[in-house]
Amino acid sequence: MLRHYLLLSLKVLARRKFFTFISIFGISFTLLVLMLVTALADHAFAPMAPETRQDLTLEANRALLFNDSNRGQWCCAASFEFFDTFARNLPGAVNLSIYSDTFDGVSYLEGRKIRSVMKRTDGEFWNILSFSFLEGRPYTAQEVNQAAPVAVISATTRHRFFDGRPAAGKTLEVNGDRYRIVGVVEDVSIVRDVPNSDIWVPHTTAPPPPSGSPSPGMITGRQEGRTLMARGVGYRAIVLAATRDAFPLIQREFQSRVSRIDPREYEEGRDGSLTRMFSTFDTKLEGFARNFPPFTDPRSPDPQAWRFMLFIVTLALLFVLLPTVNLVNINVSRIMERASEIGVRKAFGASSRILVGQFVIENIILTVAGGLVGLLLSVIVLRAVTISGVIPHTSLGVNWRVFAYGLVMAVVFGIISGVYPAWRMSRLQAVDALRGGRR
Amino acid sequence: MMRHLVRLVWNRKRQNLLMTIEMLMSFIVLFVVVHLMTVNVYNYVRPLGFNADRVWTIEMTSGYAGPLDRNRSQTEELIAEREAAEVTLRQLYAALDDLPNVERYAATWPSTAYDGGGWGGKLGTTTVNSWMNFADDNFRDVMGLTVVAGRWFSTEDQAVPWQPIVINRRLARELFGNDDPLNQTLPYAGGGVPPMRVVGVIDDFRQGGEFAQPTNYTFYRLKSEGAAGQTLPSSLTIRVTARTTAEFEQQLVETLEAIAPSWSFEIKTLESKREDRLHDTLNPLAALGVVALFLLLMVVLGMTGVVWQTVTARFQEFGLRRANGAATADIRRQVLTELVLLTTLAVVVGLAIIVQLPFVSAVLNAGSFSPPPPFLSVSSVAVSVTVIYLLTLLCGWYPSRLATRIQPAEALHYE
Repeated sequence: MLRHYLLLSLKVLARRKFFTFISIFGISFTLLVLMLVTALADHAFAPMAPETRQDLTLEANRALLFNDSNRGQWCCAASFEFFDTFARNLPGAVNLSIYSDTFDGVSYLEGRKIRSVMKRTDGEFWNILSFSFLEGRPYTAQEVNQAAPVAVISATTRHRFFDGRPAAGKTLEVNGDRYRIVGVVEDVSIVRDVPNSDIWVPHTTAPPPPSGSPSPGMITGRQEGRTLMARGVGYRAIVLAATRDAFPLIQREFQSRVSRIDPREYEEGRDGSLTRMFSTFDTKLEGFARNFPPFTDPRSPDPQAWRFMLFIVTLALLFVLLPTVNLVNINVSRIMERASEIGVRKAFGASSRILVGQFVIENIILTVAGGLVGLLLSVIVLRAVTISGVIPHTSLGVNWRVFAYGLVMAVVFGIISGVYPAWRMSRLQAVDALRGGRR
Repeated sequence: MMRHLVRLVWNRKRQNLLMTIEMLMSFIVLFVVVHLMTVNVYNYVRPLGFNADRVWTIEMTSGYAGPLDRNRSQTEELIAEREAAEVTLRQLYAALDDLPNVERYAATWPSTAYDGGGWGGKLGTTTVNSWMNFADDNFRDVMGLTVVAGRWFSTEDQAVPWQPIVINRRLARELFGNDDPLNQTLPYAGGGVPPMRVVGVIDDFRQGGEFAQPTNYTFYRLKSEGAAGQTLPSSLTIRVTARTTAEFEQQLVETLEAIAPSWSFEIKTLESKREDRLHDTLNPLAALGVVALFLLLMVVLGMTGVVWQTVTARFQEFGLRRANGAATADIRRQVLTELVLLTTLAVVVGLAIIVQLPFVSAVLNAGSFSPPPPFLSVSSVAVSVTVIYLLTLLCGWYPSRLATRIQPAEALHYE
């Protein structure tokens, strides 16, 4: 039966080539756009090197200070000391790394200006993330403790500074400081904000506080020279859990530690207005959702990522709405063209349900065909985006996951756009239908 | 005739409803894209208020993180740190004076030209929002700002019992209407702070660059370093001589870093900052434009197909009309007029929805400084309406020609 439907639908598609072209064009284009977005999202959020253990890690990307009325706030860059003091030895955590936001590094090489992205990290950074080293090794915790001027660079950086020749052991000058290169890693996509950088250096090589004061900016409650918020480049933390079950434990303990902090004992609370602090460990997606305050409350322990997801899904549905109506419109007029066929089937006892089923299946065949064309197009477009370098160091492609998403989208699209026309058609009276449809 | 057509349309209401919904959605997509383009073109052609030629910026990170106001540095340590930073700054200025490639330099806090962010809020006790910035006496000359009334900051403002401000024309109009803005005073909300006094009006300073919304702007005077109640500048803006090449950049950084090893300096030409800003604005717009173009192409093809199908299905109806003496032009007009009727319905509903949009955006951007002027929305509506009618007629063009080819005899044969 299914084979019969298939043959029939192919015949129908071949009969009116203009209509088939219009439908396939609309479907493939719509799915192309959705697939591009999906491929990008997949590239940003799915576990992939160097974040291969992403399903076991939690990220703390920001910290906030609030006043009592919850109105005034100070966002978002926390200091190294903040995580060093409050994020170590969390129950259920196996490892912790503290690393900085990216910042610009400028070098002058034979009159050329080279701008690199830089990141300061601790030694554990290289253990939690699995970078693939083309040359050399990561810097060690010991080198970090000694504030050794060492650096790990990306393949692109090696290309820019050394024309791609082996770089381990050589030195490189950036922002006026010299570093000895100990390792070269493969490029990391700019979309992956945890590992992304061109040059990684020990956090201890950050310029010392000015004028030699041991606790700059501190006013009250000497906390051994620690500040909560960063004074320049902010820091983040990533924690590796033993199992996913340990996530709630880690999150609760960190939150309770942070909630006990009184910012007034630190420089940031100097005028006594900021009284509470907030920071959380989240999964990658939850952490991303927190960047969109209209959908998530920045102070809520629960990241409310579902609200953000709901927004994205609504946006996608809105986008699909116009192509759907377009396809429904075409389908309705095509089906009316086949009124006499329907009349014959009805007259010979086919039930409405069977007819609806037949036409929905036909439509799914159409949309999946369009989906395959769309897939082909998205492979080409993604390849073009990768080559064009619009998003640095990013190699986008269609993997099986994205392909599966695309197929599901095509089928859902087919069902949505096929049901209404099929229902309209199935309600035709056999007598009218035999005459060629009621007008 | 019209009533008759309306009845014909009504008789096929199901099919026509679908068509109308499709037109309605296309109209809204069209409006959103046209409106975004209109607003950006409008912003782009407006004068910037400054001249970016040969201007470089030096962003400085001093590491000093104490209170901005010198008088509030309550500890010995902070005061010492602050004073050290001021000494360094004076040395940096002296070095800039000595460099032959630097024509002029000026200091600002916290923003400079082509910076996206910044600092803004209500101005004093008024309810008027404005972007704000501190700039010193040289800033006008470096940036080539046009003073339209009064004067820019100068040493005259050094020891006055008020806070001198320079505002842009837009803000002057909003605050004082047609009154002379010069020497008007604006008190601060808190007590104990001297009031602001307008000493000059500039044409404009569109900090965000070509695509930024025109907005209210206020300059406070950045006094010479070390003055009470004064921030340290975060960036220097320099105008270099005409013969300066990119190599000078390295020399400049090395000179500055030699004086202040613990500070960091980042030099950018305004030209490169401008390019970054243009890309940030144009790339998303281009992506949106391509998607919208394909959506509309899809709609045009789809609707052509539907109208074609409809015309084929109404073979006999048109044949009968021809037999009764209607000219081919009449048939054609009928098909197109029916389409125009549907479009009009879609446009009316679409306008009813679009009228809500300013309301929606007002709710979303509560506190936004500068919504686009209303005439832009009107022109966007006009353009979108025209385009949607043209698109509809385009969809009907070929099918309506088909309808004219119907031979009455052939059509009636079916009955």
